[in-house]
Amino acid sequence: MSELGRLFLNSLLTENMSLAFFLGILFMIVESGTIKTTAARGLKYVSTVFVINWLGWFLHNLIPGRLDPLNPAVFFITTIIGIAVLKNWGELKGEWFGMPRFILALGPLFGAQFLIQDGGYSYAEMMTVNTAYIVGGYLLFVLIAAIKEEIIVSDAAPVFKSYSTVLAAIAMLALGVIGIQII
Amino acid sequence: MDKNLTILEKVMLMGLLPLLGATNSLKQALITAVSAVLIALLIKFFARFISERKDYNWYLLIGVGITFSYIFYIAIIDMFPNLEIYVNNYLLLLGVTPIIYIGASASKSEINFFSYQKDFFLLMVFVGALREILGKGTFFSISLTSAGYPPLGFVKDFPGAFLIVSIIYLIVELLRKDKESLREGSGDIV
Repeated sequence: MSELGRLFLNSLLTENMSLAFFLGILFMIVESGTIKTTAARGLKYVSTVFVINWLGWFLHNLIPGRLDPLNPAVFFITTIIGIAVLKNWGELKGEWFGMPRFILALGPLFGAQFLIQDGGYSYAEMMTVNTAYIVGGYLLFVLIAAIKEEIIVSDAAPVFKSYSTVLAAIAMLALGVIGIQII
Repeated sequence: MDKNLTILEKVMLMGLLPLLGATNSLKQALITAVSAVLIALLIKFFARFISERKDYNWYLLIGVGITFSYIFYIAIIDMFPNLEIYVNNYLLLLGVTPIIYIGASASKSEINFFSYQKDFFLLMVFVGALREILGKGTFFSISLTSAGYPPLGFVKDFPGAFLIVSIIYLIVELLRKDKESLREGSGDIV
């Protein structure tokens, strides 16, 4: 397998931004609805993450190395752009526990840019990793929606119809991913 | 799913990112928890100067939060170089964690703010201790089991983080006092 192919698989499974680095898990478990709506919403979400990651990488490489301490400020600005795009698409409206709902999307948008910066990738590598992140993120988002739907229609006791079951299901999924890595 | 949640359940959701990512060891959890509480206090102080909760004011507060988390990240590494191995990106990501903005939320009272911070601190310490003991067989880096034979090695990795947090969430659900409201809302995920 080529280096880029291996990098793609790693970033999709064992180094997935949501499973291995927990970025966007909160967004996914709170924002996922029915499978149909989540599939559409997920496209908006992952395309925004992709563009913001690309923009963050581009600006990071544009700025001279001695100005690296400014990276959080640059990534913050790109994150706000991402939030504005999502809001323009009619997403993240309203409140969540007394805070604006867009606060849920801050983690994945801001954190993913740091992950890519930490990797020190070339352009081809960044595009590969970024694509793997969004493919993995999209699949996980839809999968979480499916898990939530199954939990709602199940005959389980009310105490199990909670986020604890969703998190346990994600844990099983993560164990499966580790298993694939071992194979 | 967000209906009828107790403070502890809300804290687990709002602080999910550090709860999963910064609890690989007890020291790491302690550093992140203390930093989060201090940053939350600073955010609460800054929020006093903002009367309206418009979007741009929130962006300003989040900018302040990210700045403080970056300052804490740099300061801890500079002042305590021996703690550098316990500091990771999740300290920097405190700036984008909802739990530190709870004091800026208009609907939360003073008492609630401290309840949220206390619960978050205790949860971080508990999850950190549990993951260190089960995943590494150590407590504050003191070995409790034979070297290389932790009780549940996978707990130190990301699947273990999800599993431990989900079990704690389930325990919180089982121990909640208002079980009636849980039953009433059983049509939805609580």
